Amino acid sequence: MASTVIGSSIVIDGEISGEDHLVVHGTVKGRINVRDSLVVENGGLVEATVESSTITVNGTVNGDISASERAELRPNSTVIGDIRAPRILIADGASFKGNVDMGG
Amino acid sequence: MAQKTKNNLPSPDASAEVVTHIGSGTRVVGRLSGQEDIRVHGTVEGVVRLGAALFVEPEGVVLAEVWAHDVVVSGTVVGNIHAENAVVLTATARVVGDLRSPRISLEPGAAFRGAISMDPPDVEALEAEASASRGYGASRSAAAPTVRGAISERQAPANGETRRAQAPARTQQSSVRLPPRRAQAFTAAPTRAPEPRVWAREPVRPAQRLPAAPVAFQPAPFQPSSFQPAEDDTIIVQHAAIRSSDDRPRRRTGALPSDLAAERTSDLAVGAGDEPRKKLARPKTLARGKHKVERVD
Repeated sequence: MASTVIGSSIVIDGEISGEDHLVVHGTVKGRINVRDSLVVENGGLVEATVESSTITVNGTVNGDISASERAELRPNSTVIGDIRAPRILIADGASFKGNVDMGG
Repeated sequence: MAQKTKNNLPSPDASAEVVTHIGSGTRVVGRLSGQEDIRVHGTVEGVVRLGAALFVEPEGVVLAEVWAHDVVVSGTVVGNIHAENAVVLTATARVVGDLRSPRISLEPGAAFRGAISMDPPDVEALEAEASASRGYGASRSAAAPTVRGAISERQAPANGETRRAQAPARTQQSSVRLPPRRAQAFTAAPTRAPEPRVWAREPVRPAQRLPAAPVAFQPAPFQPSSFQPAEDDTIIVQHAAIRSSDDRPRRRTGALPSDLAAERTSDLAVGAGDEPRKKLARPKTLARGKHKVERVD
């Protein structure tokens, strides 16, 4: 039960922080800082600075992404912002605009 | 939408179709709005506006002004609750704040401090709150919705900072002391029907021994100032220590017990110029919503 789900009609304007797994179907503006993994589902919109261990994007992210383990952009995802993660996957069909920093 | 019981009150057990879920390790600060049920196991601070039901689970904490269709509290809420349909405080609920909803249910064991109004939520107050949280003062709240919508679209980036700066001020509410958690729910409580009130059975007592306070106070406007309580359906439930003359309920004289009414008239007849209500010592309190919160015993 240690997970948080933001439904598709939900809009959060502010900050989400915590240690749970976070799944976003809706809209989050502001800032996300979760210790566990973050999934932005298809239809989800995140206009926020995102920090997490593993970040998976199926929807849209406008903002910088910082993952301590892995960032994955799935097909049909849209990301505008910088990505910082030791491992980055960008699938065929993903749309991405920004800088990539793999911590070389 | 929440599953409804036969009383049209949302059931605390309705869970199957709930999608949105704030986990126990998650904290959300800011504005939360939407049209679907939310279950809060974690912490939510700021403002919640929902077109559906908000469930505050036993471990959940909500430090927020809540506007929703239904609100079911099993956990802790510090802040005012406005519900279009119903508010339910279950046996494990701990609430500090005012309730405003046409249907209000307080189950035995619920700890609650605040006022209750059974008027439907004030639409004007909701709009004022909405525009204020977009970074506008109350003076702007009279603007037409279309105009306000256009402005908020244009100025949204500039207001982001304002909104974030407001959050710490709200969270200061969390320092209040909550009512005590009940050691256990009233498991031993009998299920038979409650007995009639004792005063209705007793012979009329001497008038001097009866408290004059409830009938003697004049009603005062409820805050926010736009709110005018209807005579018939306003109930204020407050611990005596936080009563203030500001939110004293209006009583219908027709509903008075005859002994109270008799005492009132006799007092008025005796005290020429000296009003009986001044005899009562009343604790001083701060403005409504800012009162110091103490333990309820």
